[in-house]
Amino acid sequence: MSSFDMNAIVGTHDILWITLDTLRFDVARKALAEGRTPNLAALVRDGWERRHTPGNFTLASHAAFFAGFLPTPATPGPHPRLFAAAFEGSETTSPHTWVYEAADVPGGLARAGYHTVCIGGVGFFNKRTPLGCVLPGLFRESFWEPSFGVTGRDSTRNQVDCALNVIQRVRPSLRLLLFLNVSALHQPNCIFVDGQTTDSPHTMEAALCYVDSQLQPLVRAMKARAPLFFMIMSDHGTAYGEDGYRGHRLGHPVVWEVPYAHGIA
Amino acid sequence: MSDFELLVFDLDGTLIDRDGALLAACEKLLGPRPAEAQGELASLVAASGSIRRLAARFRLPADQLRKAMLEELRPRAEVRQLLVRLRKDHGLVLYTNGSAAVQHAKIRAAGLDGCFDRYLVSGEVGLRKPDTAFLKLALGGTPAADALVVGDDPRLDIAPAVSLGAATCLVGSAAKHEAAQSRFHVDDVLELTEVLACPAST
Repeated sequence: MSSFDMNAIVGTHDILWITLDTLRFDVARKALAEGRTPNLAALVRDGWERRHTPGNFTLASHAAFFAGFLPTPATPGPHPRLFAAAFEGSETTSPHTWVYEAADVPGGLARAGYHTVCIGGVGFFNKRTPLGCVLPGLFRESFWEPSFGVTGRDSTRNQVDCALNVIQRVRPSLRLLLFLNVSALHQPNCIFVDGQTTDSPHTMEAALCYVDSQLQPLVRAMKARAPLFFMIMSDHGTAYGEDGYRGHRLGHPVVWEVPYAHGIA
Repeated sequence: MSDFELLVFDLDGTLIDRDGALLAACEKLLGPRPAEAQGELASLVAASGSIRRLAARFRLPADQLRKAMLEELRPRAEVRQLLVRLRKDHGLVLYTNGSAAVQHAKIRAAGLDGCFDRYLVSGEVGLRKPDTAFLKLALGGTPAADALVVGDDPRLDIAPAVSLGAATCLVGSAAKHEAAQSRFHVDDVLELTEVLACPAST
């Protein structure tokens, strides 16, 4: 994965941050290799990087992500971070790390003049409960509708429509952090295959192909607005019976190995 | 600047630090306390809801506590400057729950008199938040879709505005503790200028 001096990125580039909730590394890699995700391939030019996620479910992973702890390369480190809160003794803060005086990345970027926007997907972003307000509450502006959620067959399209609206109306002179939690890959992803009633790597891949088909207008609109730095990652995988495991919030390679990419779009 | 026609502000906890003033008043009236009791006192003040209830808890005359609280309210020049700036581009309305005498005294103590086009106090108009009729009164003839409601209370400020279709901005940390379907969120009302970089339409 290319390394960037984030001090040269922050302030000059808009940032598009997408989490493909629950996407497994093996599913993402296979779909990319088979040419089934052409729009993601246009971004992920070097292929998906296999990384280890800091959490095994959405809340834990995103709490770490927003604190500057993105998935780490699945090789021995230390690995410098893109963003880090000012923190004495940090061993992963390099000269190329953008260091902020705030508790979290969205708060730090807001202080640096970014308009920070969260478009939620899974339940931890739904703003319907106190817990569902925690992660969106880190952003200046946040959106969630039931049609963005895990049971929506058109969830990504609806999320992207919302994002396009935001992109269109925020002043061009204002730098933008747009965070999007894509819900379509989370269970039930069998809704993306006619006749299927149970989730599997196959139905997850179908969901990923659907997501891929919806992302192009978002990337195009962001690129038209300003120079664009993107980060795309999964927050955790999920087990479909491997070694007897099902679901996530458990320790297994299919859960902690996630696809990751960042770069200039 | 945004195309919100009207900005509707809550007072306590949004434009003024009512709990901070109340805490300082309690400390003054109750006298020195051990350091470990300070956190407990702050929690009691935050949870008290009303001055009357807090006064009863400490067996203080409510009038005395109220007077001390008003003395401790500190005007924030930056807030007044913000409102003066915003008034050049937007209609401004203050709407707040409480008795007329106390709320107007707070407004004066905080230096916020003359900052708004209209002041609506529940004790004067006979309506209280979260009654949407109170918010409709604050909106006047402005369509809800053209208004931004700014407040610190998800139940009293944000929920009625969402139900009427107004945009909302939650001020402070309530989003971390209560369900709030607010579109915008700022830690301090002074950050509102950044929110207003966005137009009203969603």
